[in-house]
Amino acid sequence: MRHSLLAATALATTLFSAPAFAETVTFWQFSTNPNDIAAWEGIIDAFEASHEGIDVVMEIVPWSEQQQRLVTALTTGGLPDVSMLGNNVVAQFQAIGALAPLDDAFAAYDAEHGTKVADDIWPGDKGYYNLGGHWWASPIAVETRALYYRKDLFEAAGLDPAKPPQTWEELRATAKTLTEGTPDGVYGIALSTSLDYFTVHNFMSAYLGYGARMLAEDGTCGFDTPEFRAALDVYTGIALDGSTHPDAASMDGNTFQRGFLDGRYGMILMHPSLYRDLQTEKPEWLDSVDIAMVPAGPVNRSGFLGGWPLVMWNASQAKDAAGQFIMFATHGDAFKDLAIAGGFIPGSISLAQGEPWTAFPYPLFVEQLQDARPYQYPSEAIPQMGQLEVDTIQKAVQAVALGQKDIDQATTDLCADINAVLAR
Amino acid sequence: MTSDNRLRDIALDILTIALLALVLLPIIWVFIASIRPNADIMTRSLIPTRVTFDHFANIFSRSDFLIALRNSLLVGAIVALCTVIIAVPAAFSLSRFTYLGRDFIGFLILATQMLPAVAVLVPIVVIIRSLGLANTLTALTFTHLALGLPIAVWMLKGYIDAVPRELEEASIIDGSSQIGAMVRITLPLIRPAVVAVGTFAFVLSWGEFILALALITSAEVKTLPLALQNLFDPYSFSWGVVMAGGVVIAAPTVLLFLLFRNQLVGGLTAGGIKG
Amino acid sequence: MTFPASESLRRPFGEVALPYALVMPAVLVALAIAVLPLLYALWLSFQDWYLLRNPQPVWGGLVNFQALFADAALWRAFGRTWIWTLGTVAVEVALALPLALLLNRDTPIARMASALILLPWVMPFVVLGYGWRFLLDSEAGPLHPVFQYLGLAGNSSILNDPTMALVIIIFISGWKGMPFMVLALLAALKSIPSELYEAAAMDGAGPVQRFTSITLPSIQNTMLIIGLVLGILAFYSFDLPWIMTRGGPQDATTILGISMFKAVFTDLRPAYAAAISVVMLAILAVVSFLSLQLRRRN
Repeated sequence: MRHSLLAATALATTLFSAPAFAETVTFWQFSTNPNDIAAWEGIIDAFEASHEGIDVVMEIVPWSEQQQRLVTALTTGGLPDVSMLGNNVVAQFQAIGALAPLDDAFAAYDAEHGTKVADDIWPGDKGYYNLGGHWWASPIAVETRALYYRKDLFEAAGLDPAKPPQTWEELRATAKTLTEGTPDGVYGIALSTSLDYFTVHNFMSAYLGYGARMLAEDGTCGFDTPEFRAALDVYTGIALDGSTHPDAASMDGNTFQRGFLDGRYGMILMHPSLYRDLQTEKPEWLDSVDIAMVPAGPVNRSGFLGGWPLVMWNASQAKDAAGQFIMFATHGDAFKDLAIAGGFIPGSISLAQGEPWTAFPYPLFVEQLQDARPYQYPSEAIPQMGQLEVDTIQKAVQAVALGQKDIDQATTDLCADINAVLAR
Repeated sequence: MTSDNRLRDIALDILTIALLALVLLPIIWVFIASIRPNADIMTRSLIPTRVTFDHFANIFSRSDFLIALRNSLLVGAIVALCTVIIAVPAAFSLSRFTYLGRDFIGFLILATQMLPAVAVLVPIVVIIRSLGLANTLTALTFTHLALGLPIAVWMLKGYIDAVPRELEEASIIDGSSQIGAMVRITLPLIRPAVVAVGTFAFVLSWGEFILALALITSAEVKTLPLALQNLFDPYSFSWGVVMAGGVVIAAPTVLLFLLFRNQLVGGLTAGGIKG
Repeated sequence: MTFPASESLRRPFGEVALPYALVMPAVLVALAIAVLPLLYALWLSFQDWYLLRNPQPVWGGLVNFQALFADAALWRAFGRTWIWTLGTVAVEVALALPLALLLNRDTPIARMASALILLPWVMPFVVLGYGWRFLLDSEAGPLHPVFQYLGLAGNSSILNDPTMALVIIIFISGWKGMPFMVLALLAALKSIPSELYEAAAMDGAGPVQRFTSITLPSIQNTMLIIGLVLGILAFYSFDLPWIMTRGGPQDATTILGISMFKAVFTDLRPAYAAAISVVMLAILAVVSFLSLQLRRRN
């Protein structure tokens, strides 16, 4: 029944959407990295060549601005048809009815290619993208972070380059030694304490590793524990030691990543794409770069579980074309090219199991993915996450790093803030 | 005595120049940074040793910046034109006629000037969204009209008040209508003020930030103040380029202001402008 | 008012309607951009509209105002806004008074300087905001080493120090508004009859005495009125702290304009933001009323 309905719809859409006039699909892409932009331009060209009558217009909306831009567009209009989205805010936008379900697009693609795309999605992503029995996003990348470190700088500072730090405590000590043992203007680790996603991406590994959890059993703030305090202490201690950039309280992740490429840091917790950038830019110390697992806490080793899918916005006037673009961009050969050029781990399991993801540095990241967990682990995803990560958790980190609050005060205030947001 | 006074004047002139330089130093530095190579900017010294226009070449090769430039020019020009078209008759009405409610209308228009954009931001954003006009230059143009229109009406009213009525009355006796007399006699006399008022409206729209920030999200309709933020991209960031962008935005404002200073100073002191 | 009305009865309709027709477009713009939004903001402030819960506004009575009075962060922003406003005006007066006295001379240099001094006022906030960010940057900014030398900044930019960030941005805000005060004070100074000074000089009054007994009383009214105008503008600031620090670090430079903006665009609560702007308007109304009373008394 459902299939015949779909077939009828498909027939109707083919009949009524005559390819004579061009349909435009606007697409917000969040990466400002020139390699990524070139890769997206490639996939758009391929799509337009094979789908006559559809124009895809890409607009670059930097990660640091996307939440505000999307919300502005949500309140004032002007949303794109398709956009990237952080995996953890899919639930937020789905909850307010801003997204369009992709079930039909999935089914249409499966019908045409004989695939079962839903089965090829990583289990972690399913929890983020399948809400209330419907699919709201089609994954592009799964992401986790690992510790890039410079063996040459380790040697210069008298550290053993074969022994990267294994725990957060060791990371703090190593960063300090590196800062002191390297020339001025080179810091131990690129670690932010600002209100930028980079802060929570890094810090979540610390608090989950120490056994802290964001939400208690009763759904309120669960951070008011000794475990969380210890994690906050070790993380902000790195900044207070002077082991990261002095302006870490206002710098964003892109700037830190750029700084690492420019040779200004001994270590950085970053995604696999950084390795692609290193290979593109070929700094003279490229061969001294090695990658280790993210540092562990006393309880476990927790990686950042990132990822970004494509979503279709409910306000779209070109849903059919938008759905076709989403499926094209997240599956098949064009998608494989995009993933290779982008240097990320694809959101499709079968693809990630083949070349080139079997070669350095990907296997380490794939292994790290086994330990990757969402911010609110082990609780369910909640719609307020977009606000909580930006304005509460990172604010607590910044307060301690700037010496504005002590650990206890920051923790108490953080829980008050989280509970206030949850109670709205 | 006189030589004493001359000496005192010279000393005070030197002090004036020194203080002026100090007050304007931040602006001077922005300008200098825009024409120096990045390596020189990082030395933090004030004296430029090498001059380059690379930053300007860079900025004018960016399509997002050029689109924003076009949008800003378009919005500014339409705002200036509409301000003049609406303000001249309104000022004429307030100056030359006596009628019921005139004082109230005059007060209403002036009160609009005192209302900061931040105060009406939320309702304007929601209204424009429900009209489906968000992300359009139309919406931005319309809201920018409010920036300079009230002060334009009051400035022009002052100038029309200063033109003797007898000139128009003589023309009316000769057979023209009241409107005809206004257009043929008064308008040419206040033309400098009309140009100044249009310039003023343009300048206010050109540098406007918060309404654009709240109403515009897509790149095709961004204005220059928003485009400046785009330059803070770590992969291509340089302070020289950002400062060059700032100079491009500041230049017409400064130029037009210095040209029409005399007309504008009166308006400025008449009643505060929006920041 | 009765006279023109009764007179108008005798005039043909076209003649009566003409002045209204001429002023109508300006009135419509004022209604559409000021009066209508104000009424709409008032209505909105009584709605319950949190985008994560209800995509459309529903009647909420006093829910926003209750939340507003319980919002400790907003109260802190409110207090900060007063510091910001008074600080800005204080900087404006402190910079403008000596400059105005210095420029109140009839030399070519003074005339040229009176024109150039207007530059900070004329230049858009975005340009000056980014310009000052450059000047204070810890790696490229020429002012950073100065602050480091003075012990006001460490290795990190002064904008990362919550206390100093507020102080420095208040200074910049005052610096930007200062020319307007200079302009007004110059006009007031020029209107003081020179006979007053000559008479005082005959009586043997020194420069300080002449300043306190003649100059200050003659310009204090202007200073007060312009200070109020500039104070109202400062109370509603947004551009400068937003461009320079986004209200940070922490909430150090979050004044009400920024709280309101964040309530819409970060917290997704447009109705709550409307309630904030209604309260801000109420304050503006009270202050304007008081200032008018003050003006009348003077």
